[in-house]
Amino acid sequence: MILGTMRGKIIANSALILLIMASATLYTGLSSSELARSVEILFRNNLLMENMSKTLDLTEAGLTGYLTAKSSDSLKDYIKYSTLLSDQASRLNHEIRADESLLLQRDLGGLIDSYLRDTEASVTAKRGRDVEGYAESYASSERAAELARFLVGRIEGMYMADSLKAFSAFNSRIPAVIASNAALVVAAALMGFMLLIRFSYALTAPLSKLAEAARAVGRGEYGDALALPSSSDEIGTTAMAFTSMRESVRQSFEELKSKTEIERRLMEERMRVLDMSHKLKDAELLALQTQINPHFLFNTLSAGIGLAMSEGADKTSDFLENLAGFIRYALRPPSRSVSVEDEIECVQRYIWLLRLRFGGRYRFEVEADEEALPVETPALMLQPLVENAVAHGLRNREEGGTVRVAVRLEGREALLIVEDSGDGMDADEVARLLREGAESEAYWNPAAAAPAETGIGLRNVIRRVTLATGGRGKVELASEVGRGTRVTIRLPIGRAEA
Amino acid sequence: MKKAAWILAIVFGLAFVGTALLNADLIVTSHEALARGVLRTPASAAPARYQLVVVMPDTDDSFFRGLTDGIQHSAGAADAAVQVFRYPGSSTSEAERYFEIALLAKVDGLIMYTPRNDLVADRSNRASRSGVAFVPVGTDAPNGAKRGFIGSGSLLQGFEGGKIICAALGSAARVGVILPATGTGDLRDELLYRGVASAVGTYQGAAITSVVRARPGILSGEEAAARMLRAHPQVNALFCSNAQDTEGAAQVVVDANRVGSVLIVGADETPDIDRYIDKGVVAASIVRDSRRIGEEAVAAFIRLKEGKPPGAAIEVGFTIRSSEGDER
Repeated sequence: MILGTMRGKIIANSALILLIMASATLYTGLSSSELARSVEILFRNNLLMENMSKTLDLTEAGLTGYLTAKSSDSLKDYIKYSTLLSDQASRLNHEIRADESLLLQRDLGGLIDSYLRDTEASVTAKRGRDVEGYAESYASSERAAELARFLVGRIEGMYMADSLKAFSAFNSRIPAVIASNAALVVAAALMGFMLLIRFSYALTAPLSKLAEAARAVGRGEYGDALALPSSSDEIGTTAMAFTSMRESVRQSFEELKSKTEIERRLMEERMRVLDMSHKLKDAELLALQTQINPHFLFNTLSAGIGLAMSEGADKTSDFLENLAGFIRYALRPPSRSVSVEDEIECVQRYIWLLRLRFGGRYRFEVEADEEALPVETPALMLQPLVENAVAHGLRNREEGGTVRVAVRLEGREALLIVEDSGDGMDADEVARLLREGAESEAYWNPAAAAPAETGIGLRNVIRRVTLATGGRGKVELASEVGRGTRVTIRLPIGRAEA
Repeated sequence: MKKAAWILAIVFGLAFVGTALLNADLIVTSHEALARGVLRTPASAAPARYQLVVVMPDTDDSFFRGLTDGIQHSAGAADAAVQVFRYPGSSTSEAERYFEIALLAKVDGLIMYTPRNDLVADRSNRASRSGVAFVPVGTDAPNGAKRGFIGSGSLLQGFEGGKIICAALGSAARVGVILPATGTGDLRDELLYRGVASAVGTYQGAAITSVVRARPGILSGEEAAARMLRAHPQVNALFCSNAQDTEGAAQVVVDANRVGSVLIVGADETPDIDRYIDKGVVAASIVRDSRRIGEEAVAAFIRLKEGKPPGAAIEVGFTIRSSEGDER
């Protein structure tokens, strides 16, 4: 199918436009030709009358010449023109019709016939040397010729009047014909122009789509969002090939991507296995240490206590006993719950050890309401706070200071308060510590509670209070530079509902 | 763009087709106009059995209009195509030319207006030799036309007019007579005049003061009446022989403010004459039945074509129209 190819489409479209323009031109040409023919028709009848009049004159001249000189040339002329006149007369109307012009033609035809009869009679009489006869016939023919000329003039006048009337009606339409022809040409030109635009668009739009698709592929977009031409011509074939190529490239990229992803996961898995292997080794080591150290430590401390008692060193014996009691308490699982009473006992052992270490430099006060003692609390809440108070609050105080531990009930809450009269902190430091405590995900890690690490013990306490109480408990920190610090743990009484 | 291009292409396509159709229509219409005017063919006109030529003066007078109407009306029934030749005024040579054309063209019939002095017998013979049925028509039969003539009868028309005038004015009647332009010869030899004179003569003291012949043209009656009233102020009655002269005389009397002092007896019927009668400007009009003359002429033509001899002369008569109505 020729229209299935680009060449065929271009040829067909161009042919259509040319056909439109050619038809407009042809039509205007035909119109002009018709106009010209109409004007010729206008005067055709007048031309016939004019010719008849001339032929009549020539016939009469031939007849006169023959009758006067009996010239054979005149006779030939007479015969020639009378024959022509007869022929011309035969073209006139001879029927009886209800039309003035047609009746006049019939009259003229009758007159010409009468004239020719008389002229024939004249010639015949002349040949027969019948002078009176040809004179009479000639006179009669002269009268008939005169009347014929009169009728010719009358018919010509009528034709002219008719022609002028018809031409007037005809002429009034000529401007409309010219205008319509001009409109025809303009309409054809505009229609051709529009079709040209339409066909240009139809031909170039698929190419634009194809170019856009190529640019998209260049940008690395292999999706099907762009609609490619689906025609059966060369562009359609190219589009199909392009689509196929794009799909191949896309599949290749997908396969490569998939392979890369698999390799990445494999690598991650290897890293995870390696990490787990390391952690496993650490855990094994930690497990061994955990199993070995307490036994070794408690055996050693028990031996120390026994040695001190046998030597009568009561203070050393008390030191080792308190230390062992404290370590035993501290080495319990960190997630356990204890009573406030246990916590008080633990902190008192720790204070005993601190007094032994620092002597009377620091003063420690512990107050606990009886009602608050049975209240459950996460283990090791107070010890890190006392340790912080000594290590950070009072460390730079040469004159010493006071650490006060208080436990009491307030409404449905148990308040565990540790306050010192140390250096205190500014508001920014307080805010930082509280924020870090809220954001900390670390659970109890004994290493994290090392006194050298500022704030770690507090963050640990805040985090464990939050976890143990389901968010109902909280830790308040109040401090003022040079005036000391107070940490208040608010524990809800009863089980957390979280 | 694609849609707009299609829409515009369709619009221009329709304009193209519309313009082409308009163009074709204009060409066809132009050709039709030419065909009506120039491209006549026998097929474009109705056929007829006979060709009937009418020769009459070229005048707009209602008498001749009625005559033509009567001929045309009857010709259809007679299957005859009518061809009218009109000659100017009282030109006898022009009338003769058309008469000869009809004979040489060998038409079937010839109805010809013949004044009273026309050589109608000679025409009749020549037509007979050419095989043409000849029917003379007019107002009064020419000399020698004892048979076959069809007319209105001017003598009686004049007599009736005179009677109406004298009945109104009695012996005080001073009559001015305006004779038709189509007539020739001595004024006092006209039958119309003689008819008026006969009637006036019966009233002692009444008299015809002036008699003139109108000249050809539509203002002839007006000009003749004005001239007469100026030359003869004593004229108190005008007799007019046709519609054109009657209208002209009435206009002169109105313009001269002499309505009531100049009595007009006119001829024939036109809307203007009827209006003048209603207003009392024209006392009466003697309406000749020219339409019947035409009808009778066609009937006579058919009789001649059937080989029958010419019938007796016919005077179709007239009707007297006045403000009191018509009277035959």
